[in-house]
Amino acid sequence: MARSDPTESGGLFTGRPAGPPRYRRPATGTARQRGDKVLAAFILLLEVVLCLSLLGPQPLGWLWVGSQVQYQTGAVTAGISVIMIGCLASLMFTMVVAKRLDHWWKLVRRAAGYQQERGAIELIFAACVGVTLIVFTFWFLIIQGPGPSLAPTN
Amino acid sequence: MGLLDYYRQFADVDREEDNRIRRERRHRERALELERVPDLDLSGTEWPEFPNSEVVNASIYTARGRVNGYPDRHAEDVRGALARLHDVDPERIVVGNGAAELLQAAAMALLEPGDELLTPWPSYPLYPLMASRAGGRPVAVDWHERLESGISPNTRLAVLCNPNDPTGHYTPAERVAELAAALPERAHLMVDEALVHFQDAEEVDAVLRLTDAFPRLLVVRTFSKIYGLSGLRTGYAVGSTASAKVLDSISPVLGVNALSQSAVAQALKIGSAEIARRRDAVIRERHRLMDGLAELPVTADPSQANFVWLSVPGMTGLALANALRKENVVVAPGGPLGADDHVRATVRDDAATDRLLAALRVALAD
Repeated sequence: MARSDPTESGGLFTGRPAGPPRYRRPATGTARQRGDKVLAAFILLLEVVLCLSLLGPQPLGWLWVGSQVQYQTGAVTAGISVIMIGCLASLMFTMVVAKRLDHWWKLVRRAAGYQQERGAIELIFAACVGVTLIVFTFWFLIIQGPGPSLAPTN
Repeated sequence: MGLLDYYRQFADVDREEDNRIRRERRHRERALELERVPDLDLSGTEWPEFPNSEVVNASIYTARGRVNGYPDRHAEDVRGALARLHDVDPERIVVGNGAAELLQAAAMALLEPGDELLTPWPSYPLYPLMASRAGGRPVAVDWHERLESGISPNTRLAVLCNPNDPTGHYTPAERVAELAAALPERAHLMVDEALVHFQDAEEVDAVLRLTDAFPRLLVVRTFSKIYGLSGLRTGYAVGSTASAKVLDSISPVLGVNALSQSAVAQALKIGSAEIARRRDAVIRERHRLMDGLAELPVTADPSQANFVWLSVPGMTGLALANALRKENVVVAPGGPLGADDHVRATVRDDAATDRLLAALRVALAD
């Protein structure tokens, strides 16, 4: 009998079909899953802290290190170089660590019973950048920026 | 399992690994398919192959067009093509939603309470039913006997399936003419030629030509069998010029749907060579099957249809059908068709013939 079903490929197209990633499903309703939910939340918090550290503490830390280098060597170039290279290196290292954490967060979330298809690092990073921009803008324009200079002086 | 290993098991399935699993599963399924012997269904009488793609395309083309409008209720194109095919006036042809509907409409139009519908038996099971639906009474005459033996003053309609389903017996035009002449003045004769293309006893239109001479003779044909368009349920009736009133009364009030009309018109346009090929194939295979059956302890009546009517002495039709079913060959038990001791097996191609004969050998050896 000839086949007329257009979806019948005769086994030619056995590649991965379009759609969500395939992964193993855990047994549901176990006590371990409750612990995994807490662990997943903790890992997510770590990711947030790491991303936030990229946008404030780490650059500030490298600025301090750079200033010390400049003070010790008397060379501005050396200080700026240390700041640039240090910032880039710690950015790369932090992102690698955050990415690994995000991978484990995804696995722990799946273990906790959530249908977690993707990680959250992109969203966290974007949110941190947004928050940092708002905070920086407020500090720059209102607290330390032109505001005080426009105010009446004694 | 370590802590990290526990979580690693929920990682995405690797694409290569996923593909490998799918390939293995597909190979297992194929292996199972090869091991399984598919059923060979020889219980139906419709054409087993798909219709010609041009015929299907004609229907699809219409479906994509103005199906918001009503179709041609008189099916002028189809009737014109049929008129050229049979060399008759288009006014003598009506197109209906299948031969069965035309036959039923004729029974409704012609029979009144107390009137009799005469038919050989076994024959197409619809005939007694349509007599009852019309308020008439079916009168069955054993198909070995002359149908004239059942004629009475109440006979209003005689229906002859030719070749007869399920026996495969063909009544030649000469005998049909005798029967038409023997019927009472008010009685009509309807010849159901759904399977006529499969007979090689005489010219395909031999009985149809009789409509020129017998005003109360109607010949009904279908596109469901050799044309392979059962799903479209389209048939037609041919009568004499004098039978215009009856023809008008059996035609569908609002005609046949546009999709069926397009398909049938295309089938008639391109179909003659294909019909001839199918007809030759069935006739050739039927001869081969009959030769094979002659070597087995079965009784097979000579057939002019696309099936054979078999019986095995001392065995019911149902038992024979069940025995063949065990060999993955499905045939129609004769009980519902009018004879408990027979089965009807459709003629198909050489592979089907070989499987049927092999299954019969096994079934009869048990």
